[in-house]
This record gives sequence, C-alpha cells and structure tokens, in this order.
Amino acid sequence: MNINKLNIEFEAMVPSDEKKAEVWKKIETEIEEREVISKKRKYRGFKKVLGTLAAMAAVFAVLIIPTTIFAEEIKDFFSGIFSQNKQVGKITEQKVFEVTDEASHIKVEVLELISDGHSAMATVVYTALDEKGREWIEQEENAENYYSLFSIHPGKVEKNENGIDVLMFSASSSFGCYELEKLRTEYSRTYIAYLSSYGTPTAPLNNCLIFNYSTSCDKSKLAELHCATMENHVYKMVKAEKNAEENEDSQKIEPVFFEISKLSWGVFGRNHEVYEHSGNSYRLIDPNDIYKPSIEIYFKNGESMPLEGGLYLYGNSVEVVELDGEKLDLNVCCGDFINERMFNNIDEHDMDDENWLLQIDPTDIVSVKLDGVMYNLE
Amino acid sequence: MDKEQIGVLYQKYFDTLYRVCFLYMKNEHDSLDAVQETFLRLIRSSFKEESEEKTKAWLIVTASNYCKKQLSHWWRKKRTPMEDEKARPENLQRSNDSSVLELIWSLPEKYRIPIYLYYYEGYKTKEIAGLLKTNASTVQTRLAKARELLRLELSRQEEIEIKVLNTL
Repeated sequence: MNINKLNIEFEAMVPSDEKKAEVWKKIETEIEEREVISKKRKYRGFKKVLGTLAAMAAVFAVLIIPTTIFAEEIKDFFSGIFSQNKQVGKITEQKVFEVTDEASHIKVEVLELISDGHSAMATVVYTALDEKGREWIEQEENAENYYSLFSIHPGKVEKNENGIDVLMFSASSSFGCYELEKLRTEYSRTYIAYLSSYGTPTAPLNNCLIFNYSTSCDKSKLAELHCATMENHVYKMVKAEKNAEENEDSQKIEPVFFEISKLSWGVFGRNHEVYEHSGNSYRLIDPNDIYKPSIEIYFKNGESMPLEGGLYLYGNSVEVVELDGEKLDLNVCCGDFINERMFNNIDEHDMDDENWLLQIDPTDIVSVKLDGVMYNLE
Repeated sequence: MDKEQIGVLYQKYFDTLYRVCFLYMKNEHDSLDAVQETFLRLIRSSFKEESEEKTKAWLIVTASNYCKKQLSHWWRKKRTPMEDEKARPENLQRSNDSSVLELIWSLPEKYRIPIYLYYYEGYKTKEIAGLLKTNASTVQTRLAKARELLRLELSRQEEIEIKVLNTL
C-alpha cells in the first residue's frame, strides 16, 4: 500500500468551494438567529426576574429535596471501583476532588485515582442535583462526547495575582475515557478516564495532573489532582541459554528491560528494521507491516500468561531512559492490565468481586517470552 | 462562541470532518449534512475551545456519533444504495488512477475510519481508540486486517491484469 499516494487521495477528498460555502451559509444563519433570540431573552428576562425567582423557589422545594436524596442513594451503591479491589484498594487515592457548580445544579467528583507513573486511571462522576442539572446532563453532547465534560493531562496550575487558576505548564499524554453505562441513571454519569505516558515521555502521571472540567455553570475550570505512585518493578531482560523457538520476528526487538506494576507493563528495547529515525521522531520503515510482538509472562510456579491489550510500539517517539548511568534511546512496547472490555463485563452485583480486576503480583514474575525467545528477569 | 470563532473552526476543520463523514456516509449530500449538523451542535452546546487538540477531537467524535446514528436509522437501512458512480468521492470519479483510495472505499466502515485517522490525521492507535470508543488493541487489529485486505485485493487485481495482458 502506497501511503503517500493514499494521503494525496485523501487530501483531494473534499467537496467544491461552492458547496462548502453553501453549508457555511446555513450555519451562519443559525448563528445569527440565535444571537437575535439571545438578545430578546435578555430583555424579557429582566422584566420577569421577580416572577422567575418566585417560580424557582417553588421548583427548588419540589425538586431539590428528592434528587438530593437520590444522589445519596447512588453514592451508597457506588463508592468506587479501584478502592473496592483487594489488590489495589489500599494504593488507590479516594475522594480526590469534589465540586458543586455555583448554582448547585451539578456535582462533579473525581472519586478515585490510581497511578503507577506511566498509566493512570480515574473514576469521575457527574451527578445532577436538580431538574436543570438533569436536563444539562442529558444533553446529547454531554452524554455522548466526554470531551465536552472533562479531560485529564499532566500539568500544573497556580493562582495568579487575581486569584484565578492559571495553567503553568501542560504536557501531552494519551487520554481516553468511556462511560460505565451500567451505572447510568437519570441523574448521574460515571466515567473511567485513563492516561498513558508510555512512549510519550512527559511528566510522570501522579503528582502533577490537571483536571479540566465543565459544569452547567462553570465552563472549563482547572483543578490539580494528586495521587501516590504505586510501586513499579524494573527488571533487566537476559536471554536464557536454552532457546528453541527463535524465529524471524525475534530479531525485530532487542529487549533491554521490563517494567511492570499492577496497572501496566512495558518492554523497553532497541528495534531492528521496524522503526527508523526521521527528523526528531521515529517512523515505520515499512508502513504496510506493523510489527506486533507476542509477549508472555512466566510466574514462579511455572504458570504463564499472554499479555493482551495495547501491544504495540509507538511509531513516533522514543523513551530516553537512564539505566546504570547510561542514557538509552529506546522504543517501548507496552500495555495496560485494565481495559474497557473488563469494565464492560462488570455486573452491578459483582462490582466488589476481586476477580474481575486482573491480579498480578509483579514480584512473582521470573521470565518473559518475547516473540518466542525466553528472557530471564534479573 | 461567536460567529467569528465558529468561522475560524469551520475553515480549519471542515475538510477533516467532511472526510470522516464521507467515510461513513459514502455520499456527498449526507456528508455535507453531517458536517453542518456537527457545527450546529457545536453552536448549541456549552463547548468552550481550550486547545486545538480537544476541539478537533470533540468535532470528530460528534460527527462520528451523528453519522453512526444516521446509519442505524431503520429508514436508511431500507433505502436503496445510490448508483456506484454517484456514491464515490469526486476525486475518484475524476481520476482513473485512484486505486488505493478506491480499495479503501470498498472496505467496511470499521476499517475505513481507523485507516484515515491513522495515516492521514496522524492519530496514535490509543487516541483513535478514544475517539471511536473502543480499545487500542481493537484499533490495532482493524488496521492490520485492513492492510491485509488491501494487500490481497491489490495482488488479486495484479493477477487479473496479467491474465488480461496474456490474452492480448
């Protein structure tokens, strides 16, 4: 497959300028109509302000009390995912952040946060506290597109002289999010957010995370999240003397070390004929052939387990790693132990069952088989 | 967001959104509708622009959700597909030499979108997984499968060409 040719063809896959202008005309009309309506509403609103206040008081009396009770019921039922787990519960930061917007329509909580420095996971709950909050949370954009609601990334916030939170620095990392749909109620949405900085060396994902959130009143507020880092185990990978299964793929990555926690793992190594330097980044030598290594870990008791999930080399970045005083320019092949598939299989009744979360004791691993070649961990 | 800000975003992201919508909808008319609807949702939403990355992702996710919803409507499933020539992108209609895109065009939707986001937009597999609400390994597998299907189809076409040449 010729990627350059393909991209040239994608480039040309656009409609004529006239059609583009026609669509803009329709959008422009909608913007102008909304501006007119907004001005009229402001005028009418001023005249009706007293009446509205009276009506709001009545709505408050009817709606706030029952929904607050409802919100408490949810809280009783769902107090977290990671904190309920015997394996990682003790190292999960709980009640990391909580805020209610100015008009008390929405409560936003970062219920828990767990990180090993490379990967981080957070449970975020949006709860409506009244009818207006419920309507806001039900908006299609909010329900379907979490980018409207919040994001988490490495960074630091400080207050300026006016007391406003200002982003001091921001770094990139992979960020993804999905809703735990089984926990969806009329009044709440629960999300699992995950970050990974493997392959995109930035700040560690623990004590400098920025939670960028919106509510029905507050658009884009910043908060700093803090979390202890769970233990990461780093092992040198030494080729075992007896290796019967070496194949062609075994030559593609020359592993140097293996890093593993209860949350994620990574094989760091030099690649051969897979990626090459291109400017300041790496690119695939043969874009038609993305190398996907097979990795299996072996435990002290002789049992083994294939590592599944995001098994890939990042194509455009390398980790500069210091090992025994030497700086190494390495690719990383990595994955998380917790993935969407596991969360989707959670039944409400076995939320606190420890079996759903993969139980890995990193100190129990003695060797790693990479593309059929066995490496002992030292 | 005011008209000027929306206008800037429109100029900046129209082409990307159009291509994403086209890869779902497979015709110009519905794709233009989908782009229009995406921007209307932006206007009606409480979304506030913070970074280019976030805005672009928001627009792609909203456009994809809209297209998927449209495609799942019962009335669309009952519709007769458009004539092949009309359904193809304009540049495919203009050119006789667009073999790679034409082959991608023949792939199922679940392969077309990751191919575009990965190769043209330069998203990483994890980021595509976030946009498409799936996991990274699924995206990885779909990319590999798409490449395999394309490779098979290209070699099949080559064989046909050789056979035709041999008969001449």
